[in-house]
Amino acid sequence: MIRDITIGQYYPSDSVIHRLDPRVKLAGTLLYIISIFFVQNWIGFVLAILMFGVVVKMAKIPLSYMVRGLKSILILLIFSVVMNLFLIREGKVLVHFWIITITDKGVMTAGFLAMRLTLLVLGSSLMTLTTTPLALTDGLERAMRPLKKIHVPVHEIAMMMSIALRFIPILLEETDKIIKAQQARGADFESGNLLQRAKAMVPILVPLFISAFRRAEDLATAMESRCYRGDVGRTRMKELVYSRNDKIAYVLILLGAALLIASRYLPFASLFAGTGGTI
Amino acid sequence: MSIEVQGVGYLYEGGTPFEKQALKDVSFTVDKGEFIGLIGHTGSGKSTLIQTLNALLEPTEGKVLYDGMNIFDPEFKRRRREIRQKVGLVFQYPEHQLFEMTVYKDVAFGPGNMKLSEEEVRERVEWALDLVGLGPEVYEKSPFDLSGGQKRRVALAGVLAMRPEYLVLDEPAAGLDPRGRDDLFDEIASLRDRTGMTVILVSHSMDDVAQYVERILVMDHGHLIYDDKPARVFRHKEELTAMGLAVPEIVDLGDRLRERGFDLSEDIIRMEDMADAILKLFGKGGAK
Repeated sequence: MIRDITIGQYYPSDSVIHRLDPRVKLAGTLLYIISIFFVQNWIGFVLAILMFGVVVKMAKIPLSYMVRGLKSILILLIFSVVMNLFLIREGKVLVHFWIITITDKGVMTAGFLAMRLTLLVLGSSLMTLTTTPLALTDGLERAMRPLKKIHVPVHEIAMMMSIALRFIPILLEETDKIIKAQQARGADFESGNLLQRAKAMVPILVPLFISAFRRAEDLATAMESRCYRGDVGRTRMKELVYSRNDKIAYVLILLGAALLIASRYLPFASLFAGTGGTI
Repeated sequence: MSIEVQGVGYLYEGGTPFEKQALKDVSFTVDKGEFIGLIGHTGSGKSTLIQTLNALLEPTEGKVLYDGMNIFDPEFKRRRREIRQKVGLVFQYPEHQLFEMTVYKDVAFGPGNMKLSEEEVRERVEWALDLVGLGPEVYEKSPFDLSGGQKRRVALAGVLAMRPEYLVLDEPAAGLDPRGRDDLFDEIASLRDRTGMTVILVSHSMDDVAQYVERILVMDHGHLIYDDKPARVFRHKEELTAMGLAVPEIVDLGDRLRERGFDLSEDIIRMEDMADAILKLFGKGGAK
């Protein structure tokens, strides 16, 4: 059950996308997300979906696996679609029933919003699926390096991120184990009222916190015994160097983003336009 | 009265690149009162297997029968909690699940979930703590202030206090020093003698279980390879070595002595028996 979460999970495969420099993927994801917000009509969305589809195909990740990650935002998605559908009163009325009014503009906005949210989540999970957490933080550290000049603790932030990412699966596994162990002692997490259920969490949370602290202490000791003392004078085993593919990718990303943004200003695009909508 | 495992298979994360067949067509029966050792190398599927015995993990193939009832039958769902109380499972490093303020309360968690009277709970807690060799002086202590060995005993008592009919112990001695290891196994053997509980001891070490159990199940890559009396399992020395499992030192010693022409029975697997047999051998011929 806990294992269903795909956001932040790496999907091992050997593809062009997997081999790209993490900085390229970071920049690409960021630009894609920004351009998605510029898209205001169906042509733009079709383009965005096409681009996404091509990259997924190149990354050799089964679409079903990606879609599974959407489960986690399903409630948010449904909620915002319903809100927009019923609350927008402008435009031509399609259905009017009791206090419910659905307009063509409402349908458009809700549709665009759902599309935008879905693409946002899928686009960013595509990055984590094709990049190991280690490469990702490495790329982030390199990309943020200029910020060091204004005393941003770039290395520390990146280190904290990679530790946090590394511990997500470990703690999930630990939680799974503790839940099972308490179930073996007859613990019941599925029935009872809210208060009883909250109380039933104590036998899970206490051991989980204790184990998290224990692991943190162990890790700190291990880092210290390897003479870790922060960023100063630290070298890396794998220096990030842009390859030819990375450069090509940069050009394609810029072209794609330009295309998405331009779609907004197409001459006949106003025919298909909707409004931005709210979450 | 028995647990029957019929053709059980388990596939982790089916349909993803992380897919792993942890169990494949495993079948055996555990009769009441048996003392069984479940042996396998790390990753052989033994931990997955024991979780199917008390309905914590539903196998992707096959079924598990408890006294003839399929415990994964949807109709039977409500009684799964009952099964978990009847088949007590002690996980690896069980001290990691302690959470209460006092030892007494922690051990009382299991029986407390069974809707028993306070008196009955108290009686069971005292009984369980006594079984693992802990007296009233620890009742009001925090479990986190105890030594490693004591913590493990408290956690073990936490399962025993439910008075399970079957007790499954996953690597109960992991991380203990040799002395603590011997003490714990002796205690498990004696508690089994006192209560008549069916015990399944899971381990990756033949040496640990050989001298206690009456029957050994050997797992390798999700398959059940051997299911026999210890002495008979140990005759497959080469196959066991190929699986990354070693026969107990005593069995190895017996083999070497036989190679050199000494007349020793292949059934000797305990240190004491071996010592007796060797003394007898030399006693007859006269000590040199």
